Amino acid sequence: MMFLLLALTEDERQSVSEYVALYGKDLYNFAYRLTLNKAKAEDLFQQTWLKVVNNLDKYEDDHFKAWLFKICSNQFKDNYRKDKRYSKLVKDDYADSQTKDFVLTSAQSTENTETKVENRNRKMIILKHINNLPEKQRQVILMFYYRAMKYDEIAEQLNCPVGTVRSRINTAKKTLKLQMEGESYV
Amino acid sequence: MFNIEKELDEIRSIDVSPSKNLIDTTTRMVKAKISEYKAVKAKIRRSNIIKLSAMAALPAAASILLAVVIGLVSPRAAAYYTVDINQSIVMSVDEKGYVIDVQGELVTLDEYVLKGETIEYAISQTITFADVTENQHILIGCFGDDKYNNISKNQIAYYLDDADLSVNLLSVHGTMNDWNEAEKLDTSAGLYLLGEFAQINIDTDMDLTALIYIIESSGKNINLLTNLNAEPINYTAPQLEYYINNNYINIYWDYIDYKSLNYDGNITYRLLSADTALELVSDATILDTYSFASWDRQPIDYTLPYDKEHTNKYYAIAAIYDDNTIVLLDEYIYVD
Repeated sequence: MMFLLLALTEDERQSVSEYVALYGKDLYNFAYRLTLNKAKAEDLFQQTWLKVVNNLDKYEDDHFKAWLFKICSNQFKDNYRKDKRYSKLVKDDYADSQTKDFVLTSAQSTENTETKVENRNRKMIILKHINNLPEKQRQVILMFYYRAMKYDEIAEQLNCPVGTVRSRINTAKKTLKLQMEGESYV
Repeated sequence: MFNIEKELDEIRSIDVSPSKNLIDTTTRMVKAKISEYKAVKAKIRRSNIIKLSAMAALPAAASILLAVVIGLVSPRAAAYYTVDINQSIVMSVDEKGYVIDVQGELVTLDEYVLKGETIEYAISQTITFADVTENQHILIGCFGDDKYNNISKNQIAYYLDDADLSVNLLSVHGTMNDWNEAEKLDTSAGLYLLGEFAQINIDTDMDLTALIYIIESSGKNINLLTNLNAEPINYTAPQLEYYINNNYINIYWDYIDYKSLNYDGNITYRLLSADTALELVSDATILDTYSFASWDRQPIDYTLPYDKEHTNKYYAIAAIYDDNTIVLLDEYIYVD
């Protein structure tokens, strides 16, 4: 589908906006659930589309949407690594050690209230642990909770029975709980 | 202590929509990126012979074009920018500083790609797709109110660095009177103003290279000339506030628009704490440091544990500029 973008006629350029609009809401929701921050979600959203264009030559399969979300997820991991906020905040805030970390937030952000900060921090801790899960478990958790896909959609994309998806999600949640119990979070 | 299942369900139930502005901006970015891709491929295909013959024809063509162009610039423009490379480009911006019109010989770059972008991005794209050589002089002229005279040359250089380009950016700032005078002479307003500073009457077919040659031959320093009208930097630092939330001290401060304060460079924030206000200046503990560029996103809050170690303390942020100016506001906070 995306090879059309390279054809570059005026009509086909128009189709670019259709792709951005077509997948925009789903992708933005995914970016927002990962970042829990409007400014960061917007950055991630745009970075993902730029990566898509930069990597068009590498696009091989027919699952454009899956490829798009994979790029977004990888970009998030890149940002995550670069952004000291996550590792320091997660490690320090809840491990009873000293916390000292700048929180990068857009000036326009409305997420500065106490409750939202607490809420966001809890979810970031979970996300940190999701990223430590075995790949198959991480994949289904991201698909179910962060992309809000249904069981049958995940099964179809992974080419496996729905029961396998359910069991992987349960296993993943158990693993998460074990990991976090070890760090006294739950 | 928290419930994983509940937190995950909350994440799944989040339902947000991208703003129209985000979709529009992203679409423009994607289109620009595709045009860039196309232009780079086209550039590779062009032969050197074609390039040379096209270049020879440019000065005359540019002067004719400019005469037409200046009269056509959008009446909604809040300020005009000229970019003199070998040819002259004119961009007009709206009150928020976004490009609304582009006139001139863009060669491999489509005009619509630049519309709606910041002036820094638009200029960097124009330079990227022009035939420039390493360290070539490029003159950016700004004509309009003083508030538009804060173009970030460092940000342009940052964008150019991404394209592996290193050029010598010069900038001049003039009034609408200068703009009108240049229009009467059918010449680029940027070149006209540089000529005025150097006290040289420029000809309509004189390009930037020729003008710089004349200026430097007369013993004048081109870099000093283009800094004549630079606005002074209004140095400042974050003014802190805080609230206590359960076991945390949440320190926060306002976003600072460094561009509007005429600062173009890197800033380092140092979060300081001390037992007395006086010690904030003389003997503070540096709790953390964060550096960013003036055009970049910036930190606006910080969290500390609400415990014995962090209470009964004074806190402030020192802002350190590229020229080693350190600013510490005396409106610190005290957390008891």
